[in-house]
Amino acid sequence: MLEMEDKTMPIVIPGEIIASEGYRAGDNTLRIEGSIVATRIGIPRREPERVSVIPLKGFYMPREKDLVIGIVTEVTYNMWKLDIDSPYPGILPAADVFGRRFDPTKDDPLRKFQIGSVIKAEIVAFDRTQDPLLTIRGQDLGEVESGFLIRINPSKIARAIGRGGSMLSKIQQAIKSRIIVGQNGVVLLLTSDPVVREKAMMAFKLIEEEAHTYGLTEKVVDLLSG
Amino acid sequence: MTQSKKPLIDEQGLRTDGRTIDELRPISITLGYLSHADGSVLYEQGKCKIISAVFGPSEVHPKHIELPDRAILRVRYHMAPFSTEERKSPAPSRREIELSMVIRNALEPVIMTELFPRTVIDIFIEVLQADGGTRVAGITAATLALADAGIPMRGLVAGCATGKVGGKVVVDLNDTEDKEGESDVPIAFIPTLNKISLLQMDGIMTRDEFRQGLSMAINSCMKIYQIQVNALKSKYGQVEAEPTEEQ
Repeated sequence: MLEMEDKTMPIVIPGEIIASEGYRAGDNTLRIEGSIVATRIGIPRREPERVSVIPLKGFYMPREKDLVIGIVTEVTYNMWKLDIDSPYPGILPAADVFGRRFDPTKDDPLRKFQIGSVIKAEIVAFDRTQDPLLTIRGQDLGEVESGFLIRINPSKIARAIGRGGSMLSKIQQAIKSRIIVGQNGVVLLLTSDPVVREKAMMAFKLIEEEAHTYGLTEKVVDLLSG
Repeated sequence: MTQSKKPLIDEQGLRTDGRTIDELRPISITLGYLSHADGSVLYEQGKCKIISAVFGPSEVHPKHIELPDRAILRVRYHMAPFSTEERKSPAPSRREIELSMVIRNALEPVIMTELFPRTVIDIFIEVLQADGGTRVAGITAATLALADAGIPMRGLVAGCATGKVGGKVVVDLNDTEDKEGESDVPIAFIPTLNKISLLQMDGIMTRDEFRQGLSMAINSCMKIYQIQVNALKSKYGQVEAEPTEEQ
């Protein structure tokens, strides 16, 4: 973790060598002829045995147990297809919503969610050979009835949450409203006040633009209190 | 097209635009030029102006063209109707369809398509103003747009042409040299893998001239590569402190 102690860190680009012997290739890296190279623009992260790159820009790749916020794009007789801002659409099976007694001849998926419904869901399974399987069984999951949606680049989500949720709780305190952050870059603002929405949008835009700078939490707090 | 009276190489060894035989045209790179695309760039090399935009990886439509083990690449190279001296028909020509394929083949070795099976990566190369060497400039631009979109790659591809003009081997031919010179050899080079991903030849060169041209083009590709690296790095400036914290 040597690099972490520095205040400035170099940016690596695809094809740049970030380590040679004695390391394992972690996320967003690749081993080419004995050296480990970065495969995306980002910041190298050196752990005792592994090097990885934290991307500065990218798209959302589904991961099991992630909370995502998606919008229904297709309804079939036994499932809903959700746009989760990822290369792969989320699949919410009707059996998950209706329970085990789901009967396609009796239950109509359209009665539950329609095209355009916003749904908070958790990813149950994903392995790239099949589209990510979603569930709404769990606390606080299901259709979103009201609120505002803000989209930010998924690679900035970790920064928007902050260490142990510090950034998110500061924003929530400042705007006095609950915020739910989907790992896919969709942020749900549980308020109906347009002024609060404007403030929150400014805060998330700032996070998105300056995610890689130092002292961002203070900047966001200043912005919201000013 | 008016025939230029000027010799292609003058007595001092300078070319029609005043460059030496191994000098590149000035390059300017504006990353993130478009706001709707996932990655984009405005790439200028001399009088060439090219916009490249990248979308994806995303779901494939129509579904039957998707591949079970990797992402498909869709490249569209297109010249704007106002990009040439005389109006060009905006419909894709035979040349543009072929160049789209050639560029796709040049980019495919670096893009890690195997990470995103059943998806598509769309690459658009729109030539706004053409002045020779647009296919190699298009490759250089598309690489930058791909990196800007955050698509995993094994390295960057840099493109540069070489050729024989007025009896001399030169690099980075402009439109006049391309049309009036003896030969034109576009080359795309991947510095990190030390591989050539595009090599075409139009016209006649001796074996020795070709060898000389190839090494000059690779040198020029390395210069372009360095400009690409600097552009990508300076887009984000110096990164300060730990940027991401996991939940």
